Amino acid sequence: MKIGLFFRLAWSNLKKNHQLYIPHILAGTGLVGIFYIMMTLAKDERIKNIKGGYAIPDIMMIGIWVVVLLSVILVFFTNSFLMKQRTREYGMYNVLGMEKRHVGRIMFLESLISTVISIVLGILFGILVYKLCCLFICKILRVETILGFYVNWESLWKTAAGFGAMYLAAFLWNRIRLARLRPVELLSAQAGEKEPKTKWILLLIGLATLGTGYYLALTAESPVKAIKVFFIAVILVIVGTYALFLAGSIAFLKFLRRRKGFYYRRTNMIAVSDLLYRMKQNAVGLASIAILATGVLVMISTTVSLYSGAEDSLKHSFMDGKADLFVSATIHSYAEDEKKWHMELVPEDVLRENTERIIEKYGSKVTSFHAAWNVAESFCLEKDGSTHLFLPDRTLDMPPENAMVFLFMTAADYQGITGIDAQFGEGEIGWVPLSKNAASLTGRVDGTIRFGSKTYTVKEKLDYFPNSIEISIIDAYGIILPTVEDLENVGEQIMKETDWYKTPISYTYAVKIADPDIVSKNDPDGEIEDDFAFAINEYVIKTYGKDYSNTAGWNSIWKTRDEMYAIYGSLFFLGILLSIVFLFATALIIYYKQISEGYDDRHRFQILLKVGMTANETKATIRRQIVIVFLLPVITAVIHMTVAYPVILKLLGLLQLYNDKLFLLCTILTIAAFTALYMVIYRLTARTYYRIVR
Amino acid sequence: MAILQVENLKKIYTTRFGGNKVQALSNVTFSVEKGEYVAIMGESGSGKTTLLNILAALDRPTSGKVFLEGRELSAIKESEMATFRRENLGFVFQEFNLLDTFSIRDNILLPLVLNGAKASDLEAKLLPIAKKLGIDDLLSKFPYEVSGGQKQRTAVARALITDPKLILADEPTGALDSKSTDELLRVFRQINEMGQTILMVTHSTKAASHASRVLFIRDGEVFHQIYRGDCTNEQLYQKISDTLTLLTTGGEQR
Repeated sequence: MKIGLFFRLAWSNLKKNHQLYIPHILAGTGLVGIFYIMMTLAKDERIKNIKGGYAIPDIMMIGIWVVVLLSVILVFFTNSFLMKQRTREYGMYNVLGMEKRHVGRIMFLESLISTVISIVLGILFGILVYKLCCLFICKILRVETILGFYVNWESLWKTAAGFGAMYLAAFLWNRIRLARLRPVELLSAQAGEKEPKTKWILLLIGLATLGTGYYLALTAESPVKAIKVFFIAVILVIVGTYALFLAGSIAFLKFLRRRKGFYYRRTNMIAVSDLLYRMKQNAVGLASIAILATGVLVMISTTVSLYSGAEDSLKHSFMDGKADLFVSATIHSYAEDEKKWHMELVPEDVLRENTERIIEKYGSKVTSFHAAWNVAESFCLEKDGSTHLFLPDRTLDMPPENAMVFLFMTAADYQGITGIDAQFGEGEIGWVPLSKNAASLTGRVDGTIRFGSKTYTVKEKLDYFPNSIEISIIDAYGIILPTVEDLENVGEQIMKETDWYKTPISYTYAVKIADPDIVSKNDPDGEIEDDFAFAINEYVIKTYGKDYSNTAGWNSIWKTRDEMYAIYGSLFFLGILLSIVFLFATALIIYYKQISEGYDDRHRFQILLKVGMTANETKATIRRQIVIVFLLPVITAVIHMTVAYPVILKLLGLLQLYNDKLFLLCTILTIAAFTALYMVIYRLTARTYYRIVR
Repeated sequence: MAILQVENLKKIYTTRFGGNKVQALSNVTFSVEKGEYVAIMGESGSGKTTLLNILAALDRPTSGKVFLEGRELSAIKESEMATFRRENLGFVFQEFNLLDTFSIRDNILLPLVLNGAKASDLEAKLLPIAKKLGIDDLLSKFPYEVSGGQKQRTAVARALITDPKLILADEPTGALDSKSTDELLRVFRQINEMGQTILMVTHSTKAASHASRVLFIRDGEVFHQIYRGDCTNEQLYQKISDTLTLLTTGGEQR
């Protein structure tokens, strides 16, 4: 009976405050739904087992933590907003004779109802949209659609329990605050608000952090530096954004107010002083929107670029369509007498025969097989005015910054593959920058370069090199040497410096296949590589009578493509999911901002009318301010994105995406789409605002 | 010459639902001379707020005319109305209606700025008025930092700064304690003596007893009026309170 009364009260309170609770419940529903979807994707065996689906669970688990963090922040944000708006109402109950435990019971029932609705709707939404997500994933992974309705009970109860706990914590927080409030405080109207003070220290911190962040981002010349500074720069920029929104905006507006000639004008006076208070109340919310918006822009533009640039990268890696497959094989033998490892090469005809046999086994034919390049691969350090070559330690992740990577090949090979005539005179070399932003080699070595005993003149810069180098975090150059003798000289030099290999020169063969798609289709489990490795191993045992370690390089365009789509597709999907969550957060912050401002502005609006402004003038003044406040985060996000653009481009270069036009296009489209969506959110929430003000 | 002329003012409100008609003013006629200090008294619901809203051009009469210096209010276009009010009328409200985002200085200057005054002229206009009202050392403070009386004097300064033809005051002492009320009434007296025409709507006998003429409104009509003549404030107070007694006990018009 009594519970029934409390329940009815709680329910009617929710209905009465629907303007506050509907967005709260909707946001909860969205978060629960997305959390359920991500949990389920991380657990769904069917997804894991589709081709390219192996990356999804791991990537989703990363995303889940972002969603959890954001959910906690959002739940407590909306909770404190609701509490603030309803304090008077709770105070009224108290004054009318209810005890605090009764008010607490109503509060509990209210949050129970809204929590149950959010979780139930959220999970239903999640289950329904999950199928859509599966379709979408299959589409971006380019595999056949998996069908069927799927509910994962584990993620279902985990979602419900997790969000239940979160809302319970929020309720307990409110309950403690209720217990501490005195009825008079509950009822007291808001006293006049103090004028915001300029926080000079915070302003200086903001300028310093943002300045440093920007400086780091703008001055990172090499991708190595870009990796090192990127996360530091991100944190600095986040701190700087909050500090500047809090302190900078107020300092700026106060500066405007001090300039009498500017301030005492009809349009400026009201706008400046109102904005001063708006910024005080909303700086944190607006800065959050700016950060979230930047996050959306970065995520979507990079993941879309990576995903849609995949074919481009592939083309880049596979000799502009001149190869579908690269094969190479080396044998590492140990010479007991010399106590040295030797590297020897598997002969070309053995490689060719095995490749042809295996490709035929998988349903196609080799149409061409030729040496793509003989490459002597070497790191190089400038030391004591001389260039020292050394072999890369394969586990070396962070080479010294003054290091360079050289790939050497002969002019004859170069012409054979590329058709570019690169004949130089004796002692002259050509060079090709392999990493995107590599400095001019001529400038770096002062025009000449010495490999061992021989000095070469750096002659010509060429545009193309048929490389597929993996280490691109330091400047890499392709070097075209005039003759085979020169290549051997370099090889000897490498051996001398490194004291390791018999020959440092390896051969890579480019293979063109009649129908690579058929081969890919006939090899769903990726066994073709093992066939090749097995064949090479057999050859080694047959030839040397001993099981020497060998490397069989088999790098096919179809496998690389699958891997790219698996990773970039999953990242793309995660980018979309997280962006949706970020947009939820943005919409919610905006909406509550509009409501709380609406009530404040209503009062101001009426005074201005009485003092002698027309309704239209007043409306125009207020609208102008709102638009400024609204555009501020988006403009900030766009500025952040612009500054981050070169760094991100360098980082994308690490992932073999060199198409800066594509990235620029993606960035612009993302900004346009985000702004459009943001404006829609703004318009929808502005309606509520005007309803309150009027 | 009469600065304000009110002729046969009638205002009928139609309630939003059901179309019931409520007559707020049935027939109000009076005029205010330049330099006069007129108080309008009446009970709640007598129509005095309606009258003030019409005089302030915030509302339009159903019939009848209002002339301010010979210019008919209802003939002024809606688009010019705000400007007209800003330039000709000054307002003082019970609830002060100060903007809490503005300092005292900016609150006073607001109407001038809205009129497009030059920034360099502002201080010259502000200081004498602020001094006269005794708020010159509060100018940099914000409304929440000053007392009710000081807020109301700020509102008076805001009303005076445009040199309006007429000051309309709506229960200006309604939210003030007795000391602040005395102060404010002294201020009104002072500015009236310097030639400012004031029309004040009030409940307070004390406030009305400072006026040079008191109009009584009952049931939407001017029921009675008292001229100060040679009366002191106390004598006028007595006369007003006699009239009010008569009003509430339902006496007929004399």
